[in-house]
Amino acid sequence: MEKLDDKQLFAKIAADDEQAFGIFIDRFKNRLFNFIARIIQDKETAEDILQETFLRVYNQRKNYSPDYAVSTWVFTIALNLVRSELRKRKLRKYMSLDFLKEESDVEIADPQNPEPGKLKPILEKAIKSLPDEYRTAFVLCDIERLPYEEIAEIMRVPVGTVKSRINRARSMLREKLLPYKELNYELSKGLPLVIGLY
Amino acid sequence: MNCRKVSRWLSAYIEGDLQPLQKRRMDEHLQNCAACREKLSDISMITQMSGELEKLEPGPFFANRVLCEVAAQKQKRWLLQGWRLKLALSAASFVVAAIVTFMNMSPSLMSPTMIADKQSGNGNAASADFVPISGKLARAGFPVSDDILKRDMALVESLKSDSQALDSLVLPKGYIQQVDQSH
Ligand SMILES: [Zn+2]
Repeated sequence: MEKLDDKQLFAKIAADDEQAFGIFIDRFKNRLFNFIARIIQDKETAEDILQETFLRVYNQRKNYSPDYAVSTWVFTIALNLVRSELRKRKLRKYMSLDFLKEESDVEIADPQNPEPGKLKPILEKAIKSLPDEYRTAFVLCDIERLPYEEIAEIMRVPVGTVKSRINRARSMLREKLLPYKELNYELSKGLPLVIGLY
Repeated sequence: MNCRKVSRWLSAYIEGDLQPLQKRRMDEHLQNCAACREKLSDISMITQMSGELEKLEPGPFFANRVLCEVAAQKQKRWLLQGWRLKLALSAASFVVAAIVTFMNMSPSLMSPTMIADKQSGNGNAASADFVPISGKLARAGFPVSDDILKRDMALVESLKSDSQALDSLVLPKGYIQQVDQSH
Protein backbone atom coordinates (compact mmCIF):
# COMPACT_ATOMS: atom_id res chain seq x y z
CA MET A 1 0.00 0.00 0.00
CA GLU A 2 3.03 2.29 0.56
CA LYS A 3 3.58 2.23 -3.20
CA LEU A 4 0.18 3.73 -4.04
CA ASP A 5 0.18 7.34 -5.18
CA ASP A 6 -1.59 9.97 -3.07
CA LYS A 7 -4.91 9.71 -4.90
CA GLN A 8 -4.98 5.91 -4.89
CA LEU A 9 -4.13 5.89 -1.19
CA PHE A 10 -6.82 8.44 -0.48
CA ALA A 11 -9.41 6.37 -2.35
CA LYS A 12 -8.73 3.62 0.21
CA ILE A 13 -9.14 6.08 3.08
CA ALA A 14 -12.45 7.25 1.62
CA ALA A 15 -13.52 3.57 1.71
CA ASP A 16 -12.82 3.58 5.50
CA ASP A 17 -9.48 1.76 5.32
CA GLU A 18 -7.76 2.77 8.57
CA GLN A 19 -4.46 1.15 7.66
CA ALA A 20 -4.34 3.39 4.60
CA PHE A 21 -4.94 6.39 6.85
CA GLY A 22 -1.95 5.39 9.00
CA ILE A 23 0.25 5.31 5.90
CA PHE A 24 -1.19 8.64 4.80
CA ILE A 25 -0.26 10.23 8.14
CA ASP A 26 3.29 8.92 7.85
CA ARG A 27 3.52 10.26 4.32
CA PHE A 28 2.44 13.82 5.12
CA LYS A 29 3.16 14.45 8.80
CA ASN A 30 6.74 15.75 8.48
CA ARG A 31 6.13 18.07 5.54
CA LEU A 32 3.00 19.48 7.14
CA PHE A 33 4.62 19.84 10.54
CA ASN A 34 7.64 21.66 9.11
CA PHE A 35 5.27 24.08 7.38
CA ILE A 36 2.95 24.61 10.37
CA ALA A 37 5.75 24.92 12.94
CA ARG A 38 7.64 27.47 10.85
CA ILE A 39 4.55 29.67 10.62
CA ILE A 40 3.23 29.12 14.16
CA GLN A 41 6.68 29.11 15.82
CA ASP A 42 5.58 26.96 18.73
CA LYS A 43 6.06 23.22 18.43
CA GLU A 44 3.32 22.21 20.86
CA THR A 45 0.61 24.29 19.16
CA ALA A 46 1.98 23.16 15.79
CA GLU A 47 1.49 19.51 16.79
CA ASP A 48 -2.09 20.23 17.93
CA ILE A 49 -2.82 21.93 14.61
CA LEU A 50 -1.24 19.02 12.74
CA GLN A 51 -3.46 16.55 14.62
CA GLU A 52 -6.55 18.64 13.91
CA THR A 53 -5.54 18.78 10.24
CA PHE A 54 -5.47 14.98 10.01
CA LEU A 55 -8.75 14.63 11.92
CA ARG A 56 -10.41 17.03 9.49
CA VAL A 57 -8.92 15.18 6.54
CA TYR A 58 -10.35 11.93 7.93
CA ASN A 59 -13.76 13.38 8.77
CA GLN A 60 -14.03 14.99 5.33
CA ARG A 61 -12.59 12.01 3.45
CA LYS A 62 -15.83 11.50 1.49
CA ASN A 63 -15.82 15.15 0.35
CA TYR A 64 -12.37 15.15 -1.26
CA SER A 65 -12.52 16.12 -4.91
CA PRO A 66 -9.90 14.36 -7.10
CA ASP A 67 -9.74 17.57 -9.20
CA TYR A 68 -7.18 18.80 -6.66
CA ALA A 69 -3.87 17.22 -5.72
CA VAL A 70 -4.23 15.53 -2.31
CA SER A 71 -1.25 17.56 -1.02
CA THR A 72 -2.91 20.85 -2.07
CA TRP A 73 -6.09 19.90 -0.24
CA VAL A 74 -4.25 18.83 2.90
CA PHE A 75 -2.06 21.95 2.96
CA THR A 76 -5.16 24.12 2.47
CA ILE A 77 -6.81 22.55 5.52
CA ALA A 78 -3.61 23.05 7.54
CA LEU A 79 -3.29 26.67 6.42
CA ASN A 80 -6.91 27.42 7.38
CA LEU A 81 -6.19 26.16 10.89
CA VAL A 82 -2.90 28.07 11.02
CA ARG A 83 -4.63 31.29 9.96
CA SER A 84 -7.33 30.86 12.55
CA GLU A 85 -4.66 30.34 15.25
CA LEU A 86 -2.82 33.48 14.08
CA ARG A 87 -6.08 35.47 14.20
CA LYS A 88 -6.71 34.23 17.75
CA ARG A 89 -3.21 35.29 18.75
CA LYS A 90 -3.63 38.73 17.22
CA LEU A 91 -6.89 39.18 19.07
CA ARG A 92 -5.31 38.06 22.37
CA LYS A 93 -2.42 40.44 21.79
CA TYR A 94 -4.81 43.27 21.03
CA MET A 95 -6.93 42.54 24.10
CA SER A 96 -3.87 42.48 26.34
CA LEU A 97 -2.64 45.78 24.84
CA ASP A 98 0.66 44.11 23.93
CA PHE A 99 0.37 45.67 20.50
CA LEU A 100 1.44 48.96 22.09
CA LYS A 101 4.87 47.47 22.68
CA GLU A 102 7.48 47.90 19.95
CA GLU A 103 7.61 44.91 17.65
CA SER A 104 11.02 43.51 18.55
CA ASP A 105 13.13 43.00 15.46
CA VAL A 106 15.15 39.85 15.07
CA GLU A 107 17.39 39.87 18.08
CA ILE A 108 20.25 37.95 16.65
CA ALA A 109 23.86 37.57 17.56
CA ASP A 110 26.04 40.65 17.72
CA PRO A 111 26.76 41.58 14.09
CA GLN A 112 30.19 42.91 15.08
CA ASN A 113 31.19 39.60 16.60
CA PRO A 114 29.31 36.81 14.84
CA GLU A 115 29.85 33.17 15.64
CA PRO A 116 31.14 31.28 12.62
CA GLY A 117 28.70 28.79 11.12
CA LYS A 118 25.72 30.44 12.79
CA LEU A 119 24.08 32.02 9.78
CA LYS A 120 21.30 29.43 9.63
CA PRO A 121 19.90 30.20 13.09
CA ILE A 122 19.99 33.87 12.11
CA LEU A 123 18.08 33.08 8.93
CA GLU A 124 15.53 31.07 10.96
CA LYS A 125 14.92 34.04 13.23
CA ALA A 126 14.68 36.38 10.27
CA ILE A 127 12.03 34.11 8.69
CA LYS A 128 10.05 34.19 11.94
CA SER A 129 9.98 37.97 11.84
CA LEU A 130 8.36 38.16 8.37
CA PRO A 131 4.71 39.27 8.19
CA ASP A 132 2.36 36.22 8.25
CA GLU A 133 1.32 36.13 4.59
CA TYR A 134 4.90 36.72 3.35
CA ARG A 135 6.22 34.07 5.70
CA THR A 136 3.57 31.59 4.52
CA ALA A 137 4.42 32.12 0.84
CA PHE A 138 8.16 31.97 1.56
CA VAL A 139 7.95 28.78 3.64
CA LEU A 140 5.80 27.01 1.04
CA CYS A 141 8.18 28.04 -1.74
CA ASP A 142 11.73 28.02 -0.35
CA ILE A 143 11.38 25.50 2.47
CA GLU A 144 8.61 23.16 1.28
CA ARG A 145 9.63 23.66 -2.35
CA LEU A 146 6.08 23.69 -3.72
CA PRO A 147 5.44 25.15 -7.20
CA TYR A 148 3.90 28.64 -7.46
CA GLU A 149 0.62 27.29 -8.86
CA GLU A 150 0.10 24.98 -5.89
CA ILE A 151 0.99 27.74 -3.41
CA ALA A 152 -1.57 29.99 -5.11
CA GLU A 153 -4.25 27.31 -4.69
CA ILE A 154 -3.33 26.69 -1.06
CA MET A 155 -3.27 30.39 -0.19
CA ARG A 156 -6.27 31.16 -2.44
CA VAL A 157 -4.56 34.10 -4.14
CA PRO A 158 -3.50 34.64 -7.78
CA VAL A 159 -0.14 33.22 -8.89
CA GLY A 160 1.11 36.78 -9.50
CA THR A 161 0.44 37.67 -5.87
CA VAL A 162 2.36 34.58 -4.72
CA LYS A 163 5.35 35.52 -6.87
CA SER A 164 5.47 39.09 -5.64
CA ARG A 165 5.09 38.02 -1.99
CA ILE A 166 7.95 35.54 -2.32
CA ASN A 167 10.18 38.10 -4.02
CA ARG A 168 9.33 40.67 -1.34
CA ALA A 169 9.93 38.14 1.47
CA ARG A 170 13.37 37.30 0.05
CA SER A 171 14.27 41.01 -0.15
CA MET A 172 13.11 41.55 3.45
CA LEU A 173 15.22 38.59 4.59
CA ARG A 174 18.23 39.97 2.76
CA GLU A 175 17.85 43.31 4.53
CA LYS A 176 17.68 41.55 7.88
CA LEU A 177 20.73 39.44 7.09
CA LEU A 178 22.86 42.22 5.64
CA PRO A 179 24.59 43.04 8.96
CA TYR A 180 25.73 39.39 9.15
CA LYS A 181 27.17 39.11 5.68
CA GLU A 182 30.71 38.90 6.99
CA LEU A 183 29.67 35.65 8.62
CA ASN A 184 28.90 34.24 5.24
CA TYR A 185 32.27 35.31 3.82
CA GLU A 186 33.82 33.34 6.61
CA LEU A 187 31.68 30.33 5.72
CA SER A 188 32.73 30.60 2.11
CA LYS A 189 36.41 30.70 3.18
CA GLY A 190 36.87 34.43 2.75
CA LEU A 191 35.75 34.52 -0.87
CA PRO A 192 33.22 37.22 -1.71
CA LEU A 193 29.90 35.84 -2.99
CA VAL A 194 29.58 35.68 -6.73
CA ILE A 195 26.59 34.82 -8.88
CA GLY A 196 26.11 31.09 -9.10
CA LEU A 197 28.31 30.30 -6.11
CA TYR A 198 25.37 28.44 -4.53
CA MET B 1 15.94 49.08 -16.92
CA ASN B 2 16.43 50.53 -13.46
CA CYS B 3 17.52 48.90 -10.19
CA ARG B 4 13.99 48.93 -8.74
CA LYS B 5 12.60 46.92 -11.63
CA VAL B 6 15.54 44.52 -11.44
CA SER B 7 14.79 44.07 -7.76
CA ARG B 8 11.21 43.02 -8.58
CA TRP B 9 12.38 40.53 -11.19
CA LEU B 10 15.18 38.94 -9.20
CA SER B 11 13.21 35.90 -8.03
CA ALA B 12 11.87 35.25 -11.50
CA TYR B 13 15.41 35.59 -12.85
CA ILE B 14 16.77 33.04 -10.37
CA GLU B 15 13.96 30.60 -11.22
CA GLY B 16 14.31 31.08 -15.00
CA ASP B 17 10.74 32.38 -15.06
CA LEU B 18 11.40 35.38 -17.36
CA GLN B 19 10.60 35.90 -21.03
CA PRO B 20 13.75 35.84 -23.26
CA LEU B 21 13.59 39.62 -23.81
CA GLN B 22 13.18 40.33 -20.07
CA LYS B 23 16.07 38.01 -19.30
CA ARG B 24 18.32 39.75 -21.82
CA ARG B 25 17.56 43.14 -20.30
CA MET B 26 18.26 41.80 -16.81
CA ASP B 27 21.58 40.33 -17.96
CA GLU B 28 22.56 43.67 -19.45
CA HIS B 29 21.75 45.51 -16.23
CA LEU B 30 23.48 42.99 -14.00
CA GLN B 31 26.64 43.20 -16.08
CA ASN B 32 26.87 46.92 -15.37
CA CYS B 33 25.44 47.16 -11.81
CA ALA B 34 27.46 45.72 -8.94
CA ALA B 35 24.75 46.50 -6.35
CA CYS B 36 22.13 44.43 -8.18
CA ARG B 37 24.62 41.63 -8.73
CA GLU B 38 25.27 41.54 -5.02
CA LYS B 39 21.57 41.51 -4.28
CA LEU B 40 21.05 38.64 -6.72
CA SER B 41 23.86 36.72 -5.09
CA ASP B 42 22.46 37.28 -1.59
CA ILE B 43 18.97 36.20 -2.56
CA SER B 44 20.26 33.07 -4.27
CA MET B 45 22.13 32.29 -1.09
CA ILE B 46 19.03 32.84 1.09
CA THR B 47 16.92 30.60 -1.17
CA GLN B 48 19.56 27.89 -1.14
CA MET B 49 20.09 28.07 2.62
CA SER B 50 16.35 28.03 3.38
CA GLY B 51 16.00 24.71 1.59
CA GLU B 52 18.76 23.30 3.79
CA LEU B 53 17.26 24.36 7.13
CA GLU B 54 16.57 21.60 9.62
CA LYS B 55 13.29 19.81 8.90
CA LEU B 56 11.09 20.10 11.97
CA GLU B 57 9.24 16.89 12.89
CA PRO B 58 6.36 16.03 15.23
CA GLY B 59 6.86 13.76 18.28
CA PRO B 60 7.62 10.03 17.80
CA PHE B 61 4.12 8.71 18.58
CA PHE B 62 2.26 11.28 16.56
CA ALA B 63 0.59 8.88 14.07
CA ASN B 64 -0.64 6.64 16.89
CA ARG B 65 -2.09 9.62 18.72
CA VAL B 66 -4.11 10.62 15.66
CA LEU B 67 -5.35 7.06 15.07
CA CYS B 68 -6.39 6.78 18.74
CA GLU B 69 -8.24 10.07 18.45
CA VAL B 70 -10.03 8.83 15.32
CA ALA B 71 -11.07 5.68 17.21
CA ALA B 72 -12.21 7.77 20.21
CA GLN B 73 -14.29 10.02 17.98
CA LYS B 74 -15.89 6.99 16.33
CA GLN B 75 -16.82 5.57 19.74
CA LYS B 76 -18.21 8.93 20.84
CA ARG B 77 -20.37 9.07 17.70
CA TRP B 78 -21.51 5.49 18.29
CA LEU B 79 -22.47 6.28 21.89
CA LEU B 80 -24.27 9.42 20.78
CA GLN B 81 -26.21 7.40 18.20
CA GLY B 82 -27.13 4.83 20.90
CA TRP B 83 -28.28 7.63 23.16
CA ARG B 84 -30.40 9.10 20.35
CA LEU B 85 -31.93 5.66 19.73
CA LYS B 86 -32.77 5.32 23.45
CA LEU B 87 -34.33 8.76 23.43
CA ALA B 88 -36.40 7.85 20.36
CA LEU B 89 -37.53 4.58 21.97
CA SER B 90 -38.57 6.24 25.23
CA ALA B 91 -40.44 8.91 23.25
CA ALA B 92 -42.23 6.16 21.33
CA SER B 93 -43.15 4.26 24.50
CA PHE B 94 -44.47 7.49 26.01
CA VAL B 95 -46.74 7.95 22.98
CA VAL B 96 -47.97 4.35 23.26
CA ALA B 97 -48.68 4.84 26.97
CA ALA B 98 -50.59 8.05 26.23
CA ILE B 99 -52.72 6.29 23.59
CA VAL B 100 -53.50 3.41 25.93
CA THR B 101 -54.51 5.83 28.71
CA PHE B 102 -56.73 7.75 26.30
CA MET B 103 -58.38 4.54 25.11
CA ASN B 104 -59.01 3.44 28.70
CA MET B 105 -60.64 6.76 29.54
CA SER B 106 -62.94 6.69 26.52
CA PRO B 107 -66.25 4.93 27.52
CA SER B 108 -66.90 3.54 24.06
CA LEU B 109 -63.62 1.64 24.23
CA MET B 110 -63.98 0.42 27.81
CA SER B 111 -64.02 -3.20 28.65
CA PRO B 112 -67.18 -4.62 30.33
CA THR B 113 -65.56 -4.78 33.78
CA MET B 114 -64.48 -1.16 33.58
CA ILE B 115 -67.99 -0.02 32.65
CA ALA B 116 -69.29 -2.07 35.51
CA ASP B 117 -66.76 -0.48 37.84
CA LYS B 118 -67.81 2.99 36.76
CA GLN B 119 -71.49 2.25 37.18
CA SER B 120 -71.23 0.54 40.55
CA GLY B 121 -68.58 2.94 41.77
CA ASN B 122 -66.84 0.24 43.76
CA GLY B 123 -64.05 -0.65 41.38
CA ASN B 124 -64.38 -4.44 41.87
CA ALA B 125 -65.03 -6.07 38.51
CA ALA B 126 -66.11 -9.42 39.86
CA SER B 127 -68.91 -7.88 41.98
CA ALA B 128 -70.48 -6.00 39.08
CA ASP B 129 -73.88 -7.05 37.88
CA PHE B 130 -72.96 -7.79 34.33
CA VAL B 131 -75.80 -8.92 32.07
CA PRO B 132 -74.89 -10.81 28.88
CA ILE B 133 -76.32 -9.66 25.53
CA SER B 134 -78.78 -12.54 25.43
CA GLY B 135 -80.15 -11.41 28.85
CA LYS B 136 -80.48 -7.83 27.65
CA LEU B 137 -82.32 -9.02 24.52
CA ALA B 138 -84.69 -11.11 26.67
CA ARG B 139 -85.34 -8.10 28.96
CA ALA B 140 -86.12 -6.02 25.89
CA GLY B 141 -88.85 -8.53 24.96
CA PHE B 142 -87.02 -10.54 22.35
CA PRO B 143 -87.65 -14.29 22.37
CA VAL B 144 -84.43 -15.86 23.73
CA SER B 145 -84.36 -19.55 24.62
CA ASP B 146 -83.68 -20.53 28.25
CA ASP B 147 -80.76 -22.74 27.14
CA ILE B 148 -78.95 -19.77 25.63
CA LEU B 149 -79.69 -17.60 28.67
CA LYS B 150 -78.38 -20.28 31.04
CA ARG B 151 -75.28 -20.83 28.95
CA ASP B 152 -74.45 -17.09 28.82
CA MET B 153 -75.08 -16.58 32.54
CA ALA B 154 -72.77 -19.52 33.31
CA LEU B 155 -70.11 -17.96 31.08
CA VAL B 156 -70.48 -14.60 32.88
CA GLU B 157 -70.16 -16.32 36.26
CA SER B 158 -67.02 -18.14 35.19
CA LEU B 159 -65.59 -14.89 33.83
CA LYS B 160 -66.40 -13.01 37.03
CA SER B 161 -63.96 -15.25 38.88
CA ASP B 162 -61.30 -14.30 36.34
CA SER B 163 -61.51 -10.54 35.94
CA GLN B 164 -58.60 -10.49 33.53
CA ALA B 165 -60.44 -12.72 31.08
CA LEU B 166 -63.48 -10.48 31.40
CA ASP B 167 -61.38 -7.44 30.63
CA SER B 168 -60.23 -9.05 27.42
CA LEU B 169 -63.79 -9.11 26.11
CA VAL B 170 -63.71 -5.60 24.75
CA LEU B 171 -66.95 -4.86 22.98
CA PRO B 172 -67.25 -2.98 19.69
CA LYS B 173 -67.57 0.80 19.97
CA GLY B 174 -71.04 1.95 21.15
CA TYR B 175 -72.43 -1.57 21.43
CA ILE B 176 -73.28 -1.49 25.12
CA GLN B 177 -74.91 1.94 24.90
CA GLN B 178 -77.02 0.78 21.93
CA VAL B 179 -78.14 -2.30 23.80
CA ASP B 180 -78.73 -0.23 26.98
CA GLN B 181 -80.86 2.27 25.07
CA SER B 182 -82.82 -0.50 23.40
CA HIS B 183 -84.68 -1.39 26.63
ZN1 LIG C 1 21.14 47.95 -10.41
